[in-house]
Amino acid sequence: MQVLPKRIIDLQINFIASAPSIGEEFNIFITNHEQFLTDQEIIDFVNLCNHISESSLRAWEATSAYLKIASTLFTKYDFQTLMNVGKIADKLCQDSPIIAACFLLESLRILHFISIKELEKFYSIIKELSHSGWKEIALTNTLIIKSSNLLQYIKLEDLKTVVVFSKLLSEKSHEFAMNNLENLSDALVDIPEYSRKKYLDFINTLALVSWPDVGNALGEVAPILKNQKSKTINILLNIVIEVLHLEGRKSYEIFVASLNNFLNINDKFQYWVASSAKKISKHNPASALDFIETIPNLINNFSRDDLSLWLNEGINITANRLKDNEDNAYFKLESAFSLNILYNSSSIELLERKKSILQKYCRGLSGVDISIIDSEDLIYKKIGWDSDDLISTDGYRIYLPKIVNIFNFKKDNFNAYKVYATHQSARIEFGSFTYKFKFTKVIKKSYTSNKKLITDSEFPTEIQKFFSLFENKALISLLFSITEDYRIDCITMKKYPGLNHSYKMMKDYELSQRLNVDRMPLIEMIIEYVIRFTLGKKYNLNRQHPLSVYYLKIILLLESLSSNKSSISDSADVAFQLYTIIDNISTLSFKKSNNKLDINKDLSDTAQLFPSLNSDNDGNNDKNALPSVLPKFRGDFKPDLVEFIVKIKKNQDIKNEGGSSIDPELLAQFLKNTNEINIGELTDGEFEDFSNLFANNLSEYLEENNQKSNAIKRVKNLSKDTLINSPVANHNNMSFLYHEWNFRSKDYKPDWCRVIEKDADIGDFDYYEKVLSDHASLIKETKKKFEFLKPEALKKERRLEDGDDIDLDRLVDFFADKLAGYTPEVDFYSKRNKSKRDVSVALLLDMSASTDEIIEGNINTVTDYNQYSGDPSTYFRWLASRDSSKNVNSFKRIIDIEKESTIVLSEALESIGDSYGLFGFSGYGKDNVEFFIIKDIDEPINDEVKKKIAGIQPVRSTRMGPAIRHTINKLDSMNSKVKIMILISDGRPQDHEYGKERTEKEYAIRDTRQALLEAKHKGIVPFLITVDKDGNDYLKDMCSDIGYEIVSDIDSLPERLANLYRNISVK
Amino acid sequence: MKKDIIEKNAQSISVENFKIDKEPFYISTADEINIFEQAYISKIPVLLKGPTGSGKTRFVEYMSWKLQKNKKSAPLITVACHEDLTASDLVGRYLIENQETKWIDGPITRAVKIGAICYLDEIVEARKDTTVLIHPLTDYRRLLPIDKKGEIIEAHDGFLLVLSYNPGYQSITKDLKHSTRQRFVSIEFDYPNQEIETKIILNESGCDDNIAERLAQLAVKIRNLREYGLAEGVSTRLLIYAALLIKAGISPITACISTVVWSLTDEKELQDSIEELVRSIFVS
Repeated sequence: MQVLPKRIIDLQINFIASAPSIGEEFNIFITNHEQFLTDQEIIDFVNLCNHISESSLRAWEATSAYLKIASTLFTKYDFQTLMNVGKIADKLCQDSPIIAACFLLESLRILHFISIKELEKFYSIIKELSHSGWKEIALTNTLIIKSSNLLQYIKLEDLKTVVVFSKLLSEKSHEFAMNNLENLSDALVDIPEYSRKKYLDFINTLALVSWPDVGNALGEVAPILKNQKSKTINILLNIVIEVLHLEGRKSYEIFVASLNNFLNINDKFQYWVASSAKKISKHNPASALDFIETIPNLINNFSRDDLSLWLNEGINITANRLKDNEDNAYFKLESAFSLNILYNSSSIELLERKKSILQKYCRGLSGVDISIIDSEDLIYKKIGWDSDDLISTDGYRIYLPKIVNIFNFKKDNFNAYKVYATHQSARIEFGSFTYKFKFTKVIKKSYTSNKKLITDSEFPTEIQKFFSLFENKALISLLFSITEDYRIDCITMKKYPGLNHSYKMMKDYELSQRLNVDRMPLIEMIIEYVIRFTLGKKYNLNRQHPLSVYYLKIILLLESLSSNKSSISDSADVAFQLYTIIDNISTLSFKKSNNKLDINKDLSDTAQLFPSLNSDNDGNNDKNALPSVLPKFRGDFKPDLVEFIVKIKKNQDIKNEGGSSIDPELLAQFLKNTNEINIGELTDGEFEDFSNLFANNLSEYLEENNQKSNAIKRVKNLSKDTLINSPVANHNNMSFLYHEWNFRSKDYKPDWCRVIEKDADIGDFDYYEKVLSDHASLIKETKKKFEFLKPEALKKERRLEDGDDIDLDRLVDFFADKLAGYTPEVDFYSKRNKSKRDVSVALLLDMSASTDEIIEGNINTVTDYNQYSGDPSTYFRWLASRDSSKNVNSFKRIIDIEKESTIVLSEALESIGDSYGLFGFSGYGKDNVEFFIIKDIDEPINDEVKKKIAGIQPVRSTRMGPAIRHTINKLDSMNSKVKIMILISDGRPQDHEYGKERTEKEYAIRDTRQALLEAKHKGIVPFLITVDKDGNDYLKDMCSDIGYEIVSDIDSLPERLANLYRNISVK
Repeated sequence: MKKDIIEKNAQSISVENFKIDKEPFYISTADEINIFEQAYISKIPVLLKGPTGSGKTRFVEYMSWKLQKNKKSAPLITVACHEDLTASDLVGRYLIENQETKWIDGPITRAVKIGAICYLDEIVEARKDTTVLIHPLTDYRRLLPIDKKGEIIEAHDGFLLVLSYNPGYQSITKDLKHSTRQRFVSIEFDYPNQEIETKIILNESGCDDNIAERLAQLAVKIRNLREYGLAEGVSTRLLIYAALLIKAGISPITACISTVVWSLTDEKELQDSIEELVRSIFVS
């Protein structure tokens, strides 16, 4: 041990005694540095150490730490730094010597990132966190340890934010706060430099409004933001901070979803999106987030100019809205107005908007009951059509893509749709699917092989018989498509010259999309030339060109198809001849390849392209060898598959079977021979599986066809545009889309609810009869009252013996006749008479679960409770007596009364001959509004209807709006002068997400009100009957000028309903 | 065109003297001419059924002309029926003139007397009491009772009652009663085929061949829509109007829109669909 200099020994060094190692550490420091220290400095240092060590029992730890780093500090910096660090430790010691020790041990690293002057600031930041509790100490120490790391990425002042949110988090969970502090620097590494401060603000806000998400934000948001531009990130973070403050926790998820979407946006658009969102956020930050979430889906289909128009309109709307009370439907695209703006400001054309027109147009052209359907539906069916953006037809339906946006003007894009639809419709009109195989003259002449026996069992379709003549099925299939498409094009242009311009545009567009022909192998090259010829581009091939002779021959052949009279058989003949020519080219390729013919591509590639042309390979092996090169606008031509489907369908129609039976052998044979379905290489077992799956899919498809056509017959008067095909919903049912009114945005949510029309359940037939006998007198009386209703429509009745008015013409005749001596009849009176009833009524029953509630007969529960004395000892006795008296009374439920009322009303209506429909509704959620058909308006009442009335049962929720709209649709298709809709319910409208929360009444009520007003606008008289005694509070809002009645005594509903009907229908 | 209009002044001709001098343009599609002729000779009343604009009226005119030419018939008297048309409107009535009464024959009485073809167009529209007249006139009796005068008129040999009605157009309540229907020889009319319709349009309008062909083609396409919201297919009459406008220099698309599209339906979507058909067939 070294001896300390005297000037030191004289000092009072108390701290040495606090721990055994401390003296030694002090000695080492002094020994090493004494010579550089003044007396005063030594005194100051010793005093400071004394002071630190005296602050608490465990202060020696801090002193020891201080002495450990003292040497380095002094050497690296100076005495002043040593003292400053020590003074801060001394202050920290007041709270906790452990924190002080931690600080001292980390100080060297910290000083690497901050200046000596900033030490005090650092202290003040740490101080915010440090308290004497162990949790705070642990958290502060973690912060101190992490500081040097954090300060690599953030400024000292930003550490304040870290302290603030760490403190907030530790109030919720100490461990959580510790973990996040541990992970913070890792997250900050990913964030671009100029966004780190904003990112901390974001974390801070999360800690405030949604603390459990802080961990997620560190783990998932930071990596997303990696490599993004700071400017953009700051805008996004600013928006989310605002939204979090306004909307709370739920906005975090929306933000993450938006962020993920945002990253999918092309770089050049990102800043535009971010800055646009910033503009929106000035008025409504939540809308800005919606905008970010929506926009990526739009960018692919709309130009920036189109989107700017939509954006500006949206900003205007957002700016003019009351912030608190309005919804953000515009940027969520949950607003019909928003969709309209978007649609109208863009060049895009949507199938949804034009489907109905195109459907009628195609029906007009072809004279066939064609449906136009979104091609996604067909791909989904998995029966052989699989390419994206498909255009095709199965002979009954035309499949078109959802969107067309290939030209700069909407009109041109619509014309593109028209060309697509016309071409498919023309296939039907001009017989593309009517091929009958025969050895035509052309085939006989060129087909030199031995004629093999072509049987039906071997080749289930005519097309397959034809294709069987060729080794290379892929080639003949391609050539057949080309020739047939060309034939169809030629006839179409002649028959519909108005389309020539659109066709030319389409062809020019297709030509612009074709690959460079110069680098193609010979056979691909000649096919490419042929395709281009069909697109209107004719080449003058140089005589030297190896294909010039063949090209001219082919063109001559194709031109023979341009006559109006040409048929599918001619297309097959020409395809046959083309095949022969191309076969020759293939041979030529091989011969000339040795003579170094100037062909750009190695000819062995050509041979590979069509191996079977020159080999004995089985043609089946190269079914799919050809690249897909046909112009898109002509669509996917599958004559073989269509013929097969039509054949199966016809067989089923003849047998009058459902879609269940497809002969497996026939199918297997078809699948083996066809090259229109991409099967690939399959083992026998795999082939069988595939075949079974295909059979299933095809059966379902055909079955759905049958049901759909039946269903369409049933509802053919309904407006066609609401008729949609549901890929998800049960195929046995028809589904319809309806708008829903969003009172917050004062706009409709477009195609929001799916109403699924279902046949009502069948119940017991006796029920109907029982109600008839139970209510015999009521029914009799009602019928009698209804008899007086009979005359309804006002019509001037002439030639009456008595009346309100005199018919002058008749009067003149009368006097003339009288004067002439003829005794005329007194028939010159007329009156405005209600001569006949012309009424259609729809009765709409609420079948929600709440109608299951038992009506307590004559028991008045209020009185019951009054009878209960309040003495707990007598409660059970009272309860037992109440229940027993209940047993005596009927156990009718609300739904039972609804059913009885329905029967009474039906009987009465039958007696006066008004047309009436009976419907029920329920469901759950916007996509599943169930609409039960008990009796359609024009359907006669029969035993099945009676059973269906008996079968009415409570189901689920009450989404009234769409049910009313569907009823309007039904009534609207009737020609009656008076149309009435009566809705019977047991309470207010209520459904999942029918309003912001389940408890929110206003949204549902406003939507129902809007639906009722829609009825009025259509000339339908809506009337609401509720058995909810508390109905007054919402019915006033919901109905205002629409008729309603609260039937307080539920038992009287049948009678009330009948009376009400009389009043309404006579009004 | 204007000149023609000015040159032809209105003139009043009594129905008895109204004769069709010029052969009305009519192309036979089946043996309806022969049937009508034989019915006339055999004194069997004729019922013409068919949609609006399918040539019923023109056929009667043509037959009237043809029979006159062969000196078999007197003029044609046409009555367009409506819901207030009574039996006395057809038979006749007393009028007061200077405190005296004067009987004026109605169109059916005149036809019966002079032996004309009496053509009651859209008969189901008329009041039911008209059947009282129709029944005795259409069986073997061929009598017209005039109650007010206490007379019965035996029909002239040249008299023939011809009714027309449009089965698809009227409602069930206005359908023709079986007891009435079964007194007539029925001739069904439908729109002519494309080739014949082309000829009709050509002849009636004097437009060029291509336009006439295209219009007839359009008619076929539009008539395909009859079951899909269109109450009636386009009549040849409308096609002729379109042809006349086109001939006068109006572009085919514009002419078809105002004559065909807008006349056929008020439903926007259907109008749009038909317009697209027009735009496919005619070059703008």
